[in-house]
Amino acid sequence: MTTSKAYAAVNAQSPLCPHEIHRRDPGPEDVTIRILHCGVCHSDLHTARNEWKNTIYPCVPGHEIVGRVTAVGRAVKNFRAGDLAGVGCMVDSCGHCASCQDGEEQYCENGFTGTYNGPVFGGDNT
Amino acid sequence: MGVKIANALGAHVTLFTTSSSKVDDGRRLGAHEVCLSTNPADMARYTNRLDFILNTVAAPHNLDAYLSLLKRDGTMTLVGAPAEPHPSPGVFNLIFKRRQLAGSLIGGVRETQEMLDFCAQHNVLSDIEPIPIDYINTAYERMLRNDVKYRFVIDMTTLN
Repeated sequence: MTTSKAYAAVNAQSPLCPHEIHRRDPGPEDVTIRILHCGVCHSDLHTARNEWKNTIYPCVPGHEIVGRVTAVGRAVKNFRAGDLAGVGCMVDSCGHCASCQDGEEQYCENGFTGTYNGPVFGGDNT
Repeated sequence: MGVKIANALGAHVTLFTTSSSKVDDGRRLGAHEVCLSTNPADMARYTNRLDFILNTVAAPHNLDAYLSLLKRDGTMTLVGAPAEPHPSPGVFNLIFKRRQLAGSLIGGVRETQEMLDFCAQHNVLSDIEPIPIDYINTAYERMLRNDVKYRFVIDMTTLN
């Protein structure tokens, strides 16, 4: 378990405020990064204020991320510690449905895992 | 970024905006033409003229006003996601010109890498306003007033 600093919305009315979140331990296919910058998208605001009626609180918005890799799992081939890495709206998908097999994992038929507010396969919410 | 990438792809680009303050900026970003969408006469100049419209608006609006601007067989793709639905467009506007109304999500990993490589190759860069993280609530309010050109970016070293 890792503890990360963040700014979170705790409900639809509250402003974002400092918050600590807990991440599961990285697995063999995971890449750990230190976030350097994050863009602000209207989707973040829609989500923080529950305008799409699906927000899981507390919620840490932000999905235009650039960071520096600090560690990689043993099965990771494309990244090494020290590399720059980007993260968009999606951090995982099932990997075996027709869309995932077609390289269109954003349309994962089992629902991709969002960078925030997303259910994780076999873990806590993002 | 849509304007910049469309320009880099070689398209003749028209930017539609509700903000007169973005008319000059649109040209700087790479638009060949800028249309003030709040001006009906300006909008009418584009009737039946466009091959494709990328609609990024994240608020409900009249889709027919834009579908009417497409040529026969033209497509408008929606990528903005308003909290409430758009008013349903008229069917005549679609069938008499065989126009298409479509939607699209983010790219996957492969497409996203392709986009980043394309932007690097063509020097397509974002216009940003860097902010410390404790400015985020003000940034949200300014975003709601269209008061950002064009992206707030949080410097995460300010999170202590």
